[in-house]
Amino acid sequence: MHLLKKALGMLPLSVISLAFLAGSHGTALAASKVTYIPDIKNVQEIILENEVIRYAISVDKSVWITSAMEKATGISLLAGNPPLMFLSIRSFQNGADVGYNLFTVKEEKGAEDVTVRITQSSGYVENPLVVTQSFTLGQGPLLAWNVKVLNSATGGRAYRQPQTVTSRITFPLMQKLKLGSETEMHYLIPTGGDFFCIDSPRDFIFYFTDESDPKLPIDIYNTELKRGIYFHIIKSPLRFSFADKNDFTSGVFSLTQKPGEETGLLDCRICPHEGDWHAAYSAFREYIRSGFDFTYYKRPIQTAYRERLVSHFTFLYGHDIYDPATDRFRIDEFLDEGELNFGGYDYMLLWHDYPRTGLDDRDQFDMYEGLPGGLEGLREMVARAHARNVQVFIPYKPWDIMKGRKDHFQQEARIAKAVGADGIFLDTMSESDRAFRDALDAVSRDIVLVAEGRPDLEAAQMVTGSWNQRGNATNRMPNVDLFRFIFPEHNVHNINRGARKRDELIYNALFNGVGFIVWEDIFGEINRFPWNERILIRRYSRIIHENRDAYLTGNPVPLVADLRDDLYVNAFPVDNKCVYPAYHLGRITGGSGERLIGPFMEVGHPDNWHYVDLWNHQAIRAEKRNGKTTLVFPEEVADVMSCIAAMPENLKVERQGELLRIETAKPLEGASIQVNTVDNLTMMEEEALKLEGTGGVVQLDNLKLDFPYLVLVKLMQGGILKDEVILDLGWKRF
Amino acid sequence: MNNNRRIVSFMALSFSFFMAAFVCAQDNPDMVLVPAGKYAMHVEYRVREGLSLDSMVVDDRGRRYSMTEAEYVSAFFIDRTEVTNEQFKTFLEASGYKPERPENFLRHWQGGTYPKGKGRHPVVWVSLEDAKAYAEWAGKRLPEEIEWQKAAQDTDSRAWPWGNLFDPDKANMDSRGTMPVGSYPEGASPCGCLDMAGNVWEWTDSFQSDGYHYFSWLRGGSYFLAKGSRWYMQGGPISTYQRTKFWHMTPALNRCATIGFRCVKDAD
Repeated sequence: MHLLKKALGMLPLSVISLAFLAGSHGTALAASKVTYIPDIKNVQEIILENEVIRYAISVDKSVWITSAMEKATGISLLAGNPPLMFLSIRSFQNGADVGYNLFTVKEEKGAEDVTVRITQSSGYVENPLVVTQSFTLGQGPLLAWNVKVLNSATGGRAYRQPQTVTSRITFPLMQKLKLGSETEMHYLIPTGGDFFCIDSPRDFIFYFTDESDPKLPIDIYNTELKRGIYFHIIKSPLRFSFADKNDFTSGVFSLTQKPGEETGLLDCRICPHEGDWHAAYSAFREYIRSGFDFTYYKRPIQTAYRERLVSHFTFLYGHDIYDPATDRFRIDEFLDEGELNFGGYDYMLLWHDYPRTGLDDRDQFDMYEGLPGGLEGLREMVARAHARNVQVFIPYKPWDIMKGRKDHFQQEARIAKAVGADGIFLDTMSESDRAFRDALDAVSRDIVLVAEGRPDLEAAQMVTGSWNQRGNATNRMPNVDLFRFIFPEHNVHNINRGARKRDELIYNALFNGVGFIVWEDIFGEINRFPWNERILIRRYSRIIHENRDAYLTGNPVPLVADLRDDLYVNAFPVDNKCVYPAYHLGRITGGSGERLIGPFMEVGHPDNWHYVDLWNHQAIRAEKRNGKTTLVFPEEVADVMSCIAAMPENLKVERQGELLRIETAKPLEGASIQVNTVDNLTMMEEEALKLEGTGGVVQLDNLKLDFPYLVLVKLMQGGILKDEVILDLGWKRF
Repeated sequence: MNNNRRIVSFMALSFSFFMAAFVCAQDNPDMVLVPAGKYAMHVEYRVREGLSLDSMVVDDRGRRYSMTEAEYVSAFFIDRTEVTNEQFKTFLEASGYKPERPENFLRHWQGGTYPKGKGRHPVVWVSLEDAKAYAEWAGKRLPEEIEWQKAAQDTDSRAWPWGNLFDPDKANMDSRGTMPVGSYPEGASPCGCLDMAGNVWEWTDSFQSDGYHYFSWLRGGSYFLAKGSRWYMQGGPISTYQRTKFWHMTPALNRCATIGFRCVKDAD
């Protein structure tokens, strides 16, 4: 774990922007050029270079990249490493090479790049494979590597009849790469469908969307050298999925080809980089987003919907919502209970049909008429929810086809319009039809589509919200949901309906900055949230709502560097705020208990910023060390979670005897100052006083402080936290 | 006392028993007797989601979610058939019953009566409360689950009222609508009840609350089978031992085109 954590975050946030890759945009660089040693007809070595990098490729039965040199520093990677690819039609005998001793080299000049194409074949008649590897270098350090394999076993070529050939393939350069000291080497590798791990899934996993979607680059990096190389496989018929790093390094692929068949085996981008896996992640993020259509995310309703974070799954047969004595939906009492237990709901998903549907021929659309007051009664209930700023979603069941209707989409749109629904939940689906979107648009463009299943990339262009129902993936810390980081516009909600213990699920929501679904009545089976989870959700809800300006940033960063091996920190920065949810794995795994105290992270914010731990209500000290701002926990964090908010200084709070004088340096329009205390048993904030946004004076007696004697002075504007000062007025002195 | 007199007394006694039973039966025409006895009711039902996996086909022992209840069931009479539209009309005219919440009440009737020719069809669009009102008027009551199942299954654990072999021609289990009661005489249960499988679901006296929801158990299955998805409440052929959960909510939803009932009466 110690070594793993060092592997995860190395560079300070400010350096994450890839200076190394920056050269590929904007500035006019000398074009890439190629040199053949001694000449193109008798090639022994090929030099492909541009202003930033120099690749040396040698051809000797295989193709080797013998060096990749950063021109700025002279540092050379890849020297002393095995060839790029090894392809054999015989079983491997100590990796013996059946020899591709015949080769030709061709060159192609593009507008801004140059390509070298090396075609190899074998002198052995038994080896009919012809391998073509091409290397393209543009203006940056990225080398495009393309591999084609042809089974040239046609009649006459070999002394046998043309035959289907199965070749065994490895990629030694990638799989057996030596990069500095082996103990400091780490691998970002795909594992099992849409998951990725660092070295091993047991230690840490990321998750993305769908098996069919593009995969993150494979990245091999060294934490001591602070350098690595990623292999971004754009396209390949081979399946890159490994159990762990040992499985990766020893993996063998196979390819079967009919006579005359040519296969595009690999379309890959090789890129040396500074730092760790973040370089590969950022390159991938840019690549994925550049091909994505954000049209539906640009709708005004999506911005409003994106702020809907805590919701309730409402099975309408339950007496928490339906009152049988009066035959009405007790919506006000229900929402009151929601506020009391969970901090309130941003929206509720109504559920009126399954599993009752099927006893007679009333389908999902007919059954609305049976609710109290029918559609009109439901419209009134929705209006009452809207008056309390609670949105209402209705479900759509694609499987409800017993009546053979051909107009499902129009029916659903009709219902949505009749009741004033804010969104449609796509039951059992992870994608939808354009026809459905159009049918809804005909009624209102302010109805969003949310899917139960995580959509693949193509579907995610139209389905703008989804559940995160990935079982172990979601209900485990410190798992990072990469999809959420790559597409912060998409509204993700954590849910695990059958879970008996949800604290990691709730921490996961705070850590990844995603929403949460409260669901206790699972179609008639009750799975109540115990009191301690309700407290966690209320605390999470306050933090994510009051800091949604930062949490909903367009540039969230997963796992930023920090000073501890056992602390995992995500960053959600905007111009004048950053939120850092942090998870202390060491507290759980550290044997006698690692203590989270003292310096924990370096940040690059301006000097006059305040830092507070919103979860543990602790003021964070910022110390200037070696020109950097280091954040310090003054007191040991008595929890596995913390959540640091960084904000520009605005509040000035001074204690004068039994008075607190509160001032703001810069008044904010419509702002107010909330003075809260903390309940010692639940750590929940209790609202004590509210002052004008410009400041005021507080009599400490009026706060009726008791343990932990904390006063939270919060500058709030439109429900958003703009600054916070935490005063500890008890006997503790840090 | 000589032998002749003993014979005569014996014959008089047995004749009076016979006459009593006959008279009882005459007092309860269209009802059949289910004798008293110990009965082990084995039920199976489908559990939905939540904490347990949906055991819609089988559980890990190869059976649906199930339980067995053994009880001594006193003798009772049970309606041979489901209560018909005709009978229900008689009840309405005699009692003047009007439900407090009339949403969807007798939705298939027009102008205060049942559709032409449907007099002998089972009455539908009646809630559990409507059924209870009828039963009370008739001096009867709704069957408990164990009574219903005993009348359908007898004591040999048969899967269907007529035996263990499924036969689609013995009940109205997958069609476009109800049939006149008693249309499938070959589908009779051992004690003589008709349409215990199919035609309409039947209410039982099992209304209860789990603290969060009101529900009761339906028995028997109806003519209706929702097709196209495993997520539907299972319709179509329903065995004697299958119970189906009905969530009670609004009056409009509590009444269905596929739910009717029959009554029972204690036999003392």
